[in-house]
Amino acid sequence: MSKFQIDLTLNAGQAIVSLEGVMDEDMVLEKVQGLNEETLIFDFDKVTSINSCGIRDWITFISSKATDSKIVYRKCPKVIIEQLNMVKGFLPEGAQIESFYAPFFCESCENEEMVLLSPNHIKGRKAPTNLPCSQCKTEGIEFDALESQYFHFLPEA
Amino acid sequence: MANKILLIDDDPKICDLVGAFLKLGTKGIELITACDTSQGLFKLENDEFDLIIVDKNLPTRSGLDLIEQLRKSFKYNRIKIILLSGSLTSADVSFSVQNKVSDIIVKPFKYVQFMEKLKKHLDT
Amino acid sequence: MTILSTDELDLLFSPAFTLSEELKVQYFNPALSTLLQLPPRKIKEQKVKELFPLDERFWNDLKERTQEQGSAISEEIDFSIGSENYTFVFRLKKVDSLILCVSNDLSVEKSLHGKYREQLELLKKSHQQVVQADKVRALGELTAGISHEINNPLTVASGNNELLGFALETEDLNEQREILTQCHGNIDEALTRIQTIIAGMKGFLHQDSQGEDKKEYIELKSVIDNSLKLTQGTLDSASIKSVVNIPEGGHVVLGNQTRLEQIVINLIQNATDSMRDAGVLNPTLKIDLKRNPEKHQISLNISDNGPGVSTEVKDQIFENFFTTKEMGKGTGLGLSLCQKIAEDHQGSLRLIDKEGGAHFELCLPIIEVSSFASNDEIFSKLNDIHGKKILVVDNDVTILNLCQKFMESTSFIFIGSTGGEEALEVLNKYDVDAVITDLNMPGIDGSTFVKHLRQSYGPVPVFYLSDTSGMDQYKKDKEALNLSGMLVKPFKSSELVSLLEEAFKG
Repeated sequence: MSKFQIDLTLNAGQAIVSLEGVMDEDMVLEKVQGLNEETLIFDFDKVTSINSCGIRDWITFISSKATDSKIVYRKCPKVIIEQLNMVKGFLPEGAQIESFYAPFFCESCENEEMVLLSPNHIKGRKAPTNLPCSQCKTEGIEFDALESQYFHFLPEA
Repeated sequence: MANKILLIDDDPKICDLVGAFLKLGTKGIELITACDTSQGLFKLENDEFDLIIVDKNLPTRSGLDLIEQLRKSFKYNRIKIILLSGSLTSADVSFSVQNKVSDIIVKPFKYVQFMEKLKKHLDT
Repeated sequence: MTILSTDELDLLFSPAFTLSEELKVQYFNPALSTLLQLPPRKIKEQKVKELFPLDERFWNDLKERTQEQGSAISEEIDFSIGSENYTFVFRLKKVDSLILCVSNDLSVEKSLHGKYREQLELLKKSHQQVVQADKVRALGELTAGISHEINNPLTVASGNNELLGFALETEDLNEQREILTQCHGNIDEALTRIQTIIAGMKGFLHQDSQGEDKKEYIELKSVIDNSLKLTQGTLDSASIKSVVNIPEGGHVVLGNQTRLEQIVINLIQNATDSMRDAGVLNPTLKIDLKRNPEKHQISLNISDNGPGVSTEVKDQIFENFFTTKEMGKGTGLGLSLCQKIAEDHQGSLRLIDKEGGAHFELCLPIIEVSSFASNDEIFSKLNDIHGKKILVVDNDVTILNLCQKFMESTSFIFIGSTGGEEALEVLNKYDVDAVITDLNMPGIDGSTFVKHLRQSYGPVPVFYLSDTSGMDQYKKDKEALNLSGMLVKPFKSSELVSLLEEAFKG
């Protein structure tokens, strides 16, 4: 089992690329270098970590694709959102975030969970306040990070 | 009638060996040796031979070249030639057929086979 | 300069935070939260030692130093968080009642550095394997020729053995005495010939037991001779005439015998293939050695009268895997490896433009140059290196290698030269601290050499090297040439070393 894997599904006009594992200096993107479908959807759900080498290689790859295809990022885990906010070019111009994970904490039962959100859930970089805890069902689990930092990639207003 | 054989081989020890074999065997075979192509041609011009044995690997010019040259000439077109070679490749065989070489003797050779082949081609 | 506020620290890419007196985190930037993969509520007011899986002493020691000196820097420290490994350096500063801590993440750099080193080692091993594989390949190509070489003596041995057998069958063995003796002698000679050929093969194939290629002083003539021995069969099969031109005197270089033979054999094979494939009449291979004094080089030239190298491929022939041969014949690795070997010897391998055939030139530095260089110093710095430089002048390669070996474990630095003329040239450019010279050499002899030396070079200690027959010369020259002593052949390491040490004591 290698540290990094790519699953590729091609449909009419679009490619769905599922990335799994560690994105670092050993990451090989050969499988997807030749993609030129109209829409490229990158599913980051199973990505566990990423370092500066992985970021660099990713940016080189994605910027070459962004000129010819529509780019969509799906199910971005926290480690990806953190890079997205910090590194220019990780999310290329014109690319869209379809969904992402955000950390929440339930004060009642102390449960920590990742909730899958999409950009339209976030207004003015504020997390939703009425979500129920998946464990104890209490409403209003708290967003467990700094909103201004975490939602930096979304519009201010 | 004594048979005369010309052996063209650059290794003097091989020439000695063939000489010793012939001495042991039937009487009446005279051996003349030459160490390369030009010496061989010289000896051919100045004598009559019943059979020529040509080693494939000669200095300066390959034994095969010499055989081709002999076959192209008018005088030596029909003279009996035996090729002495370290191996028996299909290239050697097809060359021999094309150039009407009577036989191929492969090194190292045993006394009995060597003498048999000589006798066979001298008698016919 | 305004005092930094936490807004600015928020901008940093690497973790920064402040600690209270009890080492509890007060302020921290988002980068810390990202590193620790903890939400803010789990970081604030936590003890720093709980957050970083590091020994308590690490932080206590840093805190102490910070309080004493106002600031402190930590050593590089490793730790893991989850499945991630990190290497960090921390810097602390006392700011009012708090301690400000900033950090530098060295994790990726350290890991890449380690990987780089590993890759280099693998590459080195790979290269060794390639070099060995090329030797095997070269040998494979030679095999046809070698079989031919062995075949003739085998035929002689076999035939004479039969004659021996026949002779033994006769009634009176005494009569056969002459034949028996002759046959025996012929068989002996033939078997020896075969053994020599096979020993040559084995020697060529033998892998250096050390990882690095051992270099010593070798005579290029022997490289040429051995290479020709191994390729004789190949050359004969193609009826190629070889013309070898080696001028008088030594052609000694610092190198690895087998590696240099690899180059020469490769070039001979290429020439053979080229001439044979093109059906050249009177194929001729020329090998010669030339001294190139201005460039301090010796050039070994191999040329043929085949079709030569076409202009289209001229630039590519030294590239890895480039070959003009058909699939399955030749990996094309030969020339690029040969060039690499030449470069390993601080030399070069080039194709020289010429009409009517190919001409390859292998240049190697002369012994004087390479023995300086092999002491890991470049020319211009030579006059600065510590340790006494001892110039040994002797045309006998074994003496040079012996002296070098003896000096290896001392602080003396060995510089070698094969003759008086070259030695004088070297002395014109670089200082040495002592000279040991053989008496009997081709070119100018030892005594004449020292006379010239004294005229142009001054009072450096000079020793004669000779067997006992040189004693008289030594006695004669001792006063006139101010000789410091004599080393008598054969000599031991201890004799050489004490002779030198005595000279430098005064």
